[in-house]
Amino acid sequence: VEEKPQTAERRETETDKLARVPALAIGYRMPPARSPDALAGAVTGELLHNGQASLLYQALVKDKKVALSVNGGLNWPLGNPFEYNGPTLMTSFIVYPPNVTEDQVLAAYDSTVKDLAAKGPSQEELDRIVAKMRADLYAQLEIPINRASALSHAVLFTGSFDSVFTAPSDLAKVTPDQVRAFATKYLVSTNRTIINRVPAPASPGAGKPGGAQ
Amino acid sequence: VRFLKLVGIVMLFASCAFAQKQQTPLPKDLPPYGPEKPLEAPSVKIAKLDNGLTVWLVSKPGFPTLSYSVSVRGGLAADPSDRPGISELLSNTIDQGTKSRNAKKIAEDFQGAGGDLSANAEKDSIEVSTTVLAAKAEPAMAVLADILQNASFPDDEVALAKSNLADSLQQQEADPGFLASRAVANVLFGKNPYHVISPTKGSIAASTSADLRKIYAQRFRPDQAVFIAVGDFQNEKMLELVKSNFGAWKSPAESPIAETPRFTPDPPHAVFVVERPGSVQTTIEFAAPGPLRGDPDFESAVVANAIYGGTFGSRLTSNIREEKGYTYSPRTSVNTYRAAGALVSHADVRNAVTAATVNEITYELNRLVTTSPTPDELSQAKRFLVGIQAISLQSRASVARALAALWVKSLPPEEIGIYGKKVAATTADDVDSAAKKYFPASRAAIVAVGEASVVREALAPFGMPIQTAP
Repeated sequence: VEEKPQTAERRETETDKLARVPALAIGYRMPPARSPDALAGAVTGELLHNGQASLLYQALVKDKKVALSVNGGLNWPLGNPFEYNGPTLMTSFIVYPPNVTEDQVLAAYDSTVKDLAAKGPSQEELDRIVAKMRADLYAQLEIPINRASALSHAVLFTGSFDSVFTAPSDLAKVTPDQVRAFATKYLVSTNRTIINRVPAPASPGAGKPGGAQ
Repeated sequence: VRFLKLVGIVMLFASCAFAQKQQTPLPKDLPPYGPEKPLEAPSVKIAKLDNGLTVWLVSKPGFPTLSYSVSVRGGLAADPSDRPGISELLSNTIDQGTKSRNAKKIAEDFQGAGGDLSANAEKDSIEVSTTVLAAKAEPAMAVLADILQNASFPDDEVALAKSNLADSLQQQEADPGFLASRAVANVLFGKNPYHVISPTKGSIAASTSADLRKIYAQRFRPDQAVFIAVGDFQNEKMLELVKSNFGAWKSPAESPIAETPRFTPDPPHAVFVVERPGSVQTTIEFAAPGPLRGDPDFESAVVANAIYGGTFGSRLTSNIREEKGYTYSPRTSVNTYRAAGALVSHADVRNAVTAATVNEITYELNRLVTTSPTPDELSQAKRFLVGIQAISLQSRASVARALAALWVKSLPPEEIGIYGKKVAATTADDVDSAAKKYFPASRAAIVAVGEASVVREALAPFGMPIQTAP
């Protein structure tokens, strides 16, 4: 399956009458798996999203206090950043407080992403995320059914299961400059779609919102 | 989360195939099943430090990772009555600063070891855990030990955590499953502190850094804690590492918080409605008192539950999902805490079949009480339970979690092996006894979350009192 490249940013807003807090999803088109950029993309996605030490968590939840939670990564939430074959996205999913605007969230988000594209990560930041990604990979492979799944996907997509075994050491080869270059090339507004999902305003006479106290 | 999802999907498919097989009789010449093969308990090295810290170590070579899990006694049920759920705020802030590390440094130190800290408030305990690269065993334990002994609960971090927790609570209150669980806990446990499953808007607003420091000092003490490690390490080296990181930890002079004494809930057989305006589905839960994990008939109740509603091939699932299509995935479970147990049935159904579903759940509960399992039902349930236990304990993290849950209940690690053997030995008579004791529908309170007028009208014909959930 191939898709035409995206050339302009798309933005949509949806309302949800049962939602209580708003959320934002930002998706960037990603390079094909096993292209030279893909591994740097996997690392970039985790640098931005993986855990409390991630760049977006630190910037959005902690420093600027414009988000409740940040999740995402390359091929998220479909699978890990290595197991895909057709077109996929790097998605950021951000739940934010009702008293914060979409634009405030996006401004903080863009500033983090642009900073990464301008400066790249430090070697120390890169070492930390590679340790985390290795531990995450081992945690996946530790479960026999997930190991079988990873091996079968590798054989299906590449004709060999070697990539499952080389992934932990391949990660260590990614350089700060590759991450910087990846962010510069792919994490740009023309390559993304943004969906803002907000609670529907309470209609008059609808009674108080549900929920026991 | 991805892993759980995958296991869930695999189980669903496995059990779909299972359910379909039941409909088509198997060929007569197939050999019989072999005997169940219950999981052996992991070999646990047990030690106690001079300061009273209990240590359970499971050396498990293989992938170069290890899991640490530390639990302390006292969770949501031990929260002060004017601060219900503050344990959750404590879990969210315990890693937000120590005397020597700020929140960012703590997060980075864990990430550099390949981990992430997870802290969870349960009813009876708070569990702090992480899984890291085996090569980083030392730095990971150093930061974990720092959090457990020196957490400082900085004012600015607590203020942010309070604000985010209040928003998360608001988000959870959109979820009918959360609303049902909260109402069930209130109905089942009443005034007992076990009714607390989360903080309230008011308790979050009232909580301060000083409250958190006080509770932390009360509960985070070595004589009320267990340190568990599972993974790629040698026991002797790990024990030395534990001693050097936790040996100086001191328990305060005052006595530990009081335990919740064992109690048996006695909920009214009545309907409790949680209003959720605009809901197109009703979430139905039946909740009755159940056994404790250490009770002699715990495993019998678990097998009975597997036959009733706890598996895909169960009577309830066959009935309201496969035959009638009322719901996509009903589920029932035997939940155990240190001082009480609960048998809970759950189904999300479209509004129009609310009454019919309550009727079928009532019927299946009472059918279990009045109708012995067939040999096939019994053997399938036992086979499923023995198999799923082995599947659920494949990861280091899950073994550590299971051991922690046993310690919290004052049960030994051997329980992991005892469980499977007792399940495999369960007879139809055992199931009948457990069914009569725990499963009569009249023992259950019913919680219904949905459009209030729909629920009230639908359930009126059952003749049970209908009231707004507490």
